[in-house]
Amino acid sequence: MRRTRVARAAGSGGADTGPVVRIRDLTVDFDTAEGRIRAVDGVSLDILPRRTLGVVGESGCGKSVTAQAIMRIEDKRICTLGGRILLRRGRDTLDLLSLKGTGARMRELRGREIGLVFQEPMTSFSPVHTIGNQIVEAVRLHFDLTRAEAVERAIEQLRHVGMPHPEHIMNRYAWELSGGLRQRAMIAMALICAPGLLIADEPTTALDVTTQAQVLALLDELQDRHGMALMLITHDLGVVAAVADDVAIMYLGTVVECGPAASIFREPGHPYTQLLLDSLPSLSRRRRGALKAISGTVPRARNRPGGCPFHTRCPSAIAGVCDRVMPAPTQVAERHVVHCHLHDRP
Amino acid sequence: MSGEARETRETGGALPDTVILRVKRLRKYFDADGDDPVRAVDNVSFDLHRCETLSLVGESGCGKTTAARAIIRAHAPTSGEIWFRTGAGEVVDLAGLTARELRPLRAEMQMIFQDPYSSLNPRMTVRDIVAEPLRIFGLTDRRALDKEVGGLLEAVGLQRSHMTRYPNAFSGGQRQRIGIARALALKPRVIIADESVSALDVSVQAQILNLLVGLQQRHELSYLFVAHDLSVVRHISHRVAVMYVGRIVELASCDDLFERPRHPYSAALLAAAPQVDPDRSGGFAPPAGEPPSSRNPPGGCHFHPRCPHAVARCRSEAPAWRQLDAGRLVRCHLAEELSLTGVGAAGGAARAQAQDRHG
Repeated sequence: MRRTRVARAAGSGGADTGPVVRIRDLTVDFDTAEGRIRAVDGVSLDILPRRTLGVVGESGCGKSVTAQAIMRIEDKRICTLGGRILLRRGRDTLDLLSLKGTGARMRELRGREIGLVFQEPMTSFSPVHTIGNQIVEAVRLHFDLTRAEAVERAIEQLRHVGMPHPEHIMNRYAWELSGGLRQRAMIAMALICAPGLLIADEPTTALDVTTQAQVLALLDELQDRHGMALMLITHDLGVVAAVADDVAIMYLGTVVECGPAASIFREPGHPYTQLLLDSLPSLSRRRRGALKAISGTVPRARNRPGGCPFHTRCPSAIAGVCDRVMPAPTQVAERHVVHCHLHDRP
Repeated sequence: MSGEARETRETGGALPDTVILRVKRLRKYFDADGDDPVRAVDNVSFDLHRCETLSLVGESGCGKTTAARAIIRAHAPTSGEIWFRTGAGEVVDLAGLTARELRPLRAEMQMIFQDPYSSLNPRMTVRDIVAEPLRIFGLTDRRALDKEVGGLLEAVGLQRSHMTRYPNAFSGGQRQRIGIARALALKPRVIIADESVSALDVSVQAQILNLLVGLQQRHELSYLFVAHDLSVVRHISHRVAVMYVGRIVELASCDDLFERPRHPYSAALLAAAPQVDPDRSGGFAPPAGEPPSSRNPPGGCHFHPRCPHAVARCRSEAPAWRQLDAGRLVRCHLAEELSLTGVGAAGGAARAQAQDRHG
């Protein structure tokens, strides 16, 4: 799996190699019974073509909400978005936040330019329609094809994702398939319009390790073949280490560190990233005493601490600085950016 | 059932001193009277030693949770023996006891559940949740109960003052601590932990693992740990049993199993497990196919359709459960001949180095 990565260059400018999506200063607020809660607080990220961006963080860090904002599937009754999400289309860019979430324009982009794979394919497929009908519907929404042509294309796509007996699967319902096959069907549907970006939100969390490895290998292979950008959202650092080219670590609605995976895993710059890596039990190392746990718990979103969001749990926090001022991004290596006062240049 | 239990009681009487629980030929079939019973647990045998953590690992549907639940008699076993050494020093077969006979023994074997949200009653205060088992076992004096509950909460890293709150005031990790306090209330000797850290965030998971290890040393607990996360299993276990379609296919010391697996399925699980290791080359290798249904498993060795080493014999003859070398049991015809790769030395050393650099 690793071997293919060498060939993938990090995009740097140019019409064809620039980011597929640029997120700038994204904020997401929810109106709840307890008042307004900021779930995403100024996230900026680039998603590059032919590369996998792993977005990691604990529950409540805003990783899924960020993905939902890109797809514009937020609940508009309680949710307010700010900032920009710039989607590249050829030579133009389009700010997705300037579109109406429920409008025709966004419907046209959703599924066509951006595909989405959810954690639980059981609940994301309709239980009362066959797999085939749902994929055919997705194709015909975006392409002017006859039903027969669309069916042919759907079968071809199912074969593509390694589905055994694709003609047979077309007439099956989601609940008749195992978790691994359901997820394959979901990936087939998400990629049938060959989108430039595939967002996969915890795509393997509900699967066993062996099935997880199969699905991750499939995503990797499809990326090699189609060159799409993949935004992989997960809480599992092991998954990210195995498949991501770039990594963004999120905490309480902010990106605390992002950059190439190799750089981040070798030289993690943010105390949160370092602690997260140290708190993981190791598969390949004998136990040596207690794990280095991070003290305390993630604060609730309605009690966001001021300054750096991690300062309440950070062993290196500088009193009077970290609890007051939100740290600015500092570049510590090529494309590797850390948001932490410890890296502030004098 | 009871006649059989009496007959084999002598076997249990010969339990070595270090063994607290001996499971022999345990079976749990669902739909047992039907034509195709689901053989969720099929002929499972192992010993659990004092102060030991034994982990049951495997993919979903392999029977690890059912085995744990049959041992604690949440499911009635279809057949088999569950010899347990009680605090009073008696050795009894739990499988042969009636519900009434079982009751006094329930205190000695407790369970910690996976989901800290659904396993605590939202309408009960923490005091009532932790005190409930004590009350059931006859402690009714309110002051004594409060003292006991306060001590338990402190033992799991919470505060006495948390007693009056309801579960919804706590985070997932804190709730899991409440569940652990409840499990400890009756001073059990065996704790069955079913995926007890799987629902927790990584930073909190480490806290709970450290707590479990600390409590084991302080209270001389034996853990039967059911888990699918192999990194967690590597960290917490003394010995590991790998299950596949209702059967244990390999049982060995933790280091032996991870570094030198002898069953192809153990090796496949290890190869598929993702791990954070910047120096690991080659990524991971998924095994082909999916686990079969335990209603209709393939004949011979259940793993043969997915096994890259399978020979004709594996398709026709079920391998015996046999001792391979000291402390290692395996269910594979070819265990002596195969040279399988585990996870280990090289990658581990590199990661340790990286850690020292940043430590």
